[in-house]
Amino acid sequence: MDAIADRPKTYKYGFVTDVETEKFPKGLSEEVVRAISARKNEPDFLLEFRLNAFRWWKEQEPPRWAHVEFPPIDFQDIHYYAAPKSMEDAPQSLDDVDPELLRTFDRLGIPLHEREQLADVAVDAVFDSVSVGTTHQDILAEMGVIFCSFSEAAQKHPELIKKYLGTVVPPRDNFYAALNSAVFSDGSFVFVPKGVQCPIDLSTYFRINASKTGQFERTLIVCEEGASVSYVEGCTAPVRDENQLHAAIVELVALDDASIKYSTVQNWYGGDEQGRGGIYNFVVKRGRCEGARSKISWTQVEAGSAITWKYPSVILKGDDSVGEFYSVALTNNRMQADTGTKMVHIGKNTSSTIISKGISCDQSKNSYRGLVKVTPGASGARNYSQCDSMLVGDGCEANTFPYLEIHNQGAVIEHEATTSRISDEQLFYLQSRGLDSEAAISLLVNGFCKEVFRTLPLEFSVEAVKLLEMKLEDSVG
Amino acid sequence: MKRLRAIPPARHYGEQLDALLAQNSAGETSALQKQRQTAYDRFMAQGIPTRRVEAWKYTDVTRLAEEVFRPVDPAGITPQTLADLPYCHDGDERLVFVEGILQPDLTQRPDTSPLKLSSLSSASESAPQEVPDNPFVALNGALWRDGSMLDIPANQKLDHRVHVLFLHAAHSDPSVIHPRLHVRLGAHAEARVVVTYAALGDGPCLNNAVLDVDLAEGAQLSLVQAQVLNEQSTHLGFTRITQGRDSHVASMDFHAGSALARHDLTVALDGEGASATLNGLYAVRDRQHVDCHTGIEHRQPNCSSRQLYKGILNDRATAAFDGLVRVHPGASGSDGEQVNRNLLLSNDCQANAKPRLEIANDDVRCTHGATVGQLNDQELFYLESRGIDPAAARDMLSRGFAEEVLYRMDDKALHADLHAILDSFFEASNERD
Repeated sequence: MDAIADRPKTYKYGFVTDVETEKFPKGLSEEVVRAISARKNEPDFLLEFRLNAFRWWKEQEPPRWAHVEFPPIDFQDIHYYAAPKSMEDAPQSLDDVDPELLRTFDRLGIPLHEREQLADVAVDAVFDSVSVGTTHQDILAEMGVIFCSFSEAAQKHPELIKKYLGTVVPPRDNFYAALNSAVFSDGSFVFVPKGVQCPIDLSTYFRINASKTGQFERTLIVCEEGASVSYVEGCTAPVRDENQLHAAIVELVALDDASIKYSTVQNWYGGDEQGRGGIYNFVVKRGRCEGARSKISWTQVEAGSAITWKYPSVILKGDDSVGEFYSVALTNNRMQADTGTKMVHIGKNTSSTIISKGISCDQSKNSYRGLVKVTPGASGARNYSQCDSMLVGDGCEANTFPYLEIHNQGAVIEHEATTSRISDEQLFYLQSRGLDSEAAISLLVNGFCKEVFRTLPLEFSVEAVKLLEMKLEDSVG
Repeated sequence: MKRLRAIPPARHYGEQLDALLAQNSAGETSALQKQRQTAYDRFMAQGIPTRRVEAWKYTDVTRLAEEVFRPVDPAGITPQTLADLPYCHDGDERLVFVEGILQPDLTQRPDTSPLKLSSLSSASESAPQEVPDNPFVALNGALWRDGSMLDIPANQKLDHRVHVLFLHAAHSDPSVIHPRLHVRLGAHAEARVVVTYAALGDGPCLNNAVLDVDLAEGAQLSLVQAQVLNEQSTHLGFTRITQGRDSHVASMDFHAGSALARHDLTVALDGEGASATLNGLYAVRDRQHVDCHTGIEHRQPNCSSRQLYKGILNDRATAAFDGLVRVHPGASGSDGEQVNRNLLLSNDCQANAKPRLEIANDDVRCTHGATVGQLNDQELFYLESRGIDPAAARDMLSRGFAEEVLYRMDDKALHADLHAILDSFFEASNERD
């Protein structure tokens, strides 16, 4: 811990929790896949799902098209399963959970004991490869909402898992999706039955702790007809000089009139000034608006990770369905981000909105890459995209790579992007009013991101603003 | 199965090179012949790109690996043929290439013209220093038959227009031209250059053009490229503009005609204070396809670039626009604007847009925008309420859409030429409606 104390204050979640960890040996093989499945006592169909994915993955080459640079990943040098030892005999309730783990989440500001602070948020805490505990399950159960770890869902609700798993992101979707499908260890499962408005926000908190491990979690959220849910994801990892891989999959399914709001505050460790260490965050997130008038909304605040490479997407299959993507991506030091969204319009009168704000500081690279696709049958499709980039410092890069593929006459598609820096006039004005330069920049950046922040649930909006301020302090101050 | 990124070209390309080298009608130096061989080797090494290659994502040219287009000898064009072409104007300084070979008897040059004309066969210095990653530029380098270097000396202002016409005469066999042109403006020179690619017959042809433009300090160039080939033809164009300090280029890139058109236009703003205005208009119908790529490199401080590319699509036509504005680390004070707008007139057409910004400097102001849509219902309704019938109203609004680009041309005669070409596009579209 002392070594870490010397580090800049940038990353306050950089501590390591000293718990005994059980890891599988390094490397990936069919045995490892089978062992993960066996450890979780999974039904046969899941083992088959994993093995199919693994066999395909073996044949594939890692993709290289993103505007990011990193040395090739040695996939045999990663532990594919790590779990705190105390989890071996699955705890029956939070009282059985190792107090050290609970303290970890307390320090992260995620109290697992249901206390005053985040009283109206149910949390599923994932530590390395396993879920440590899920709060508020009783309230949710009353409403018929299922919110539990993926492993638990595989035991208790195999029929739902079988029905929906891999329907949005098929195992052969891409290299990292296949890798995840083969070795995913845990994650969250949410099922909101017909007509139920989930009364509290659901949240998963991901924590990577063990070294030399990869985290491969899987989230599946299903909203039946007329149901709605708001879901928040947060993540941190210790400061380490090595790069760790995080390759997750999130699948959302919204049936008729259902609405899913998925918010992410991503603050994985992003490496130091020299670009040493940090998480490779290669995530596949996709939602399908299956039913008519359904709605899926992604909000992301990406403030961490050495490399962020993800495109939360919406497939607008149901007529009149709505997709939204609000993103703030801040990169500093030598972080690299290639992120954006895909909106695929299939149903009639579908609409989508994309608001993306990129802020690059120091030596970082920040790219927006997005696709708006209107298929021939999607008459009346409407899209509005706005991608703004802000550069802070002259060593950084801000790129915009939008793709518009329009195969329908009735579509109305608009895309706008701007790139600029904080204007000297604005800074001068604020400083003349007595704000110091740091506060002035923070205020301007907040204004720049406001459209996105206001879509976050309140507590997380506050957290996001603080997070950005903290990151900017080190870059600008 | 692994999907291929490139397909090896067929043997006939090599046979054409061998014939050209053996013939050596222009008496080329061995250095030039060696350049051809090098270019050919590069073409073979790169192969014909498939749609797996990002730059060719929207344009499928793989049939060029097998399809045979052969060079034809120039014949059948008289001064009268030219006089009948709507886009040939009296008073122009005119260079006419038929089947890729300059025709002195068709060439029209004012005695007093300061423009210096030389053949690229003798001017070996024209060899481009930087080799772009494009197999068709390499193919042009291997197989071009004739080309010209146009030099406008320093401080000279050309009052007349320079019109360079590349003609495919009427014939039915698949023919090929590899037009090659190099335009150089000395310091503070001013010129207007129009390059037209046209086919007189209905026969299939391949037009694989490379145009190099160099502007020295303070030079000003208005450049119009009009592609009006026939509906059987394939146009591959590559334009490379290099600009010195405080120079200015106004480019108009016009595509109507070919079955498939692909144009890569790159501008290197290599001198402080240089500026470029790129306008483009493409009109496609039936199963025509057009793919315009622009790349603007802001390499020095205080340069500015403006781009407006608009497209009109009808029937089952497809179009793509891929524009890149790249600001290099030292290029502070850069100002870039890029707009692409597409008008879809039928339900089966497809528009793809990829407006890109790559910015590596914080002192910039760059914006881009892209839109795809159909005619505005309210505007249509307004015109109809004034007694204009629906077809005419659609026509008016579509022309208005095009006019936003065309009116930016100062040259009234050219403005009228391009409108006349658009007329035939709309007429052909309306006949079907």
